[in-house]
Amino acid sequence: MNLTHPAIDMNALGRLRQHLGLREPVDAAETPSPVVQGPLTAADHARSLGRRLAAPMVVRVRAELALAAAGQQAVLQAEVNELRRELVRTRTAHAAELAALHEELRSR
Amino acid sequence: MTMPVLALAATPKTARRAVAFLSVLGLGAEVVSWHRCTEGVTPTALLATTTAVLRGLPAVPTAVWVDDHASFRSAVSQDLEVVLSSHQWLVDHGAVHVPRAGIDVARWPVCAPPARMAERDRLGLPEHLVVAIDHSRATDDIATILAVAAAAVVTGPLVPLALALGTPVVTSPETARRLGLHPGVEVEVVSGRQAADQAARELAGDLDRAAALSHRGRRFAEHHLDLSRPAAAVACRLGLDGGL
Repeated sequence: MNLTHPAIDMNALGRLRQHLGLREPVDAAETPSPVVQGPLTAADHARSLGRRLAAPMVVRVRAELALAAAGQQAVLQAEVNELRRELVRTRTAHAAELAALHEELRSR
Repeated sequence: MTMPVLALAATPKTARRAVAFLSVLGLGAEVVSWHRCTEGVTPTALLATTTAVLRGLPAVPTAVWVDDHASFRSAVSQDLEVVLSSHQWLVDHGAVHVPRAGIDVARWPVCAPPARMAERDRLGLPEHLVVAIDHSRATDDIATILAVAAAAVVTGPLVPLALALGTPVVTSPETARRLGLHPGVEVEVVSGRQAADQAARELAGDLDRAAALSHRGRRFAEHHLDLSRPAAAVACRLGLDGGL
């Protein structure tokens, strides 16, 4: 079975051939160079089967990773919120100190 | 959204008493000195440290501290929104109780003795780390030390912080009496520096006793020293409750 990939750039293919010192095919100007895929071997079948068997595991791993990332994000968000609260507390404490200082010094 | 403005009106001698409470009450508000208020700016509410400063204040919701029956009557006669006091007999008459040595307990997460031990182990600190603190003001260093120590000798203004952090505390009879702490219940009470150090070392070696003191000390801080509860009540009555 011969398959031609639709995205093959003929100019790029030509440059590649030139670079590798390969001869131009006789009908290169008329027809794009086909990408040839030979008959499937036992190794191809094994790889295909492997991919099919691995697919659910890959999905699960991706889901776990997404979950872990979300958990980490939640932890970081909680930390940011706590830091914001602490910032507000510190700012208010400083403002209170300053107000008291102004009241203490007003008679001077 | 503009923040409400909470102004402090005080005499030079009474201004300091307001700082801790104002730091909690003012969360979500802009805290300013009444006498430094920009001309034309009317505060949303006022916190006065004594009835002596009430004259001339604008007619906005006001909370005032009172220390005796005369000032309490004066505040009541002026129809002020809130009267604050650290004296129980005035609280019985309707004043809001603001602990004299109050603290924002929620700001300080409790650290129980087993967690302290794990933290000391992680940080490579001595297993029975005992410290003595007699500073008058909390710094980050002191809070950290109190949060990891196995036991601490603490006297003076930082005892509420130590209790809030769940530090097993040895303190002086004066400090215990001033805060209303019960010897052997929330703290160990010992006279003299050497005896206090020895008591703290013994406490550090007794994990069960340290855990019991840590737990009861924190509960004491929550029930008797926390400023957030009176602050929430006062903020509500002054119309500042958006921030708390």
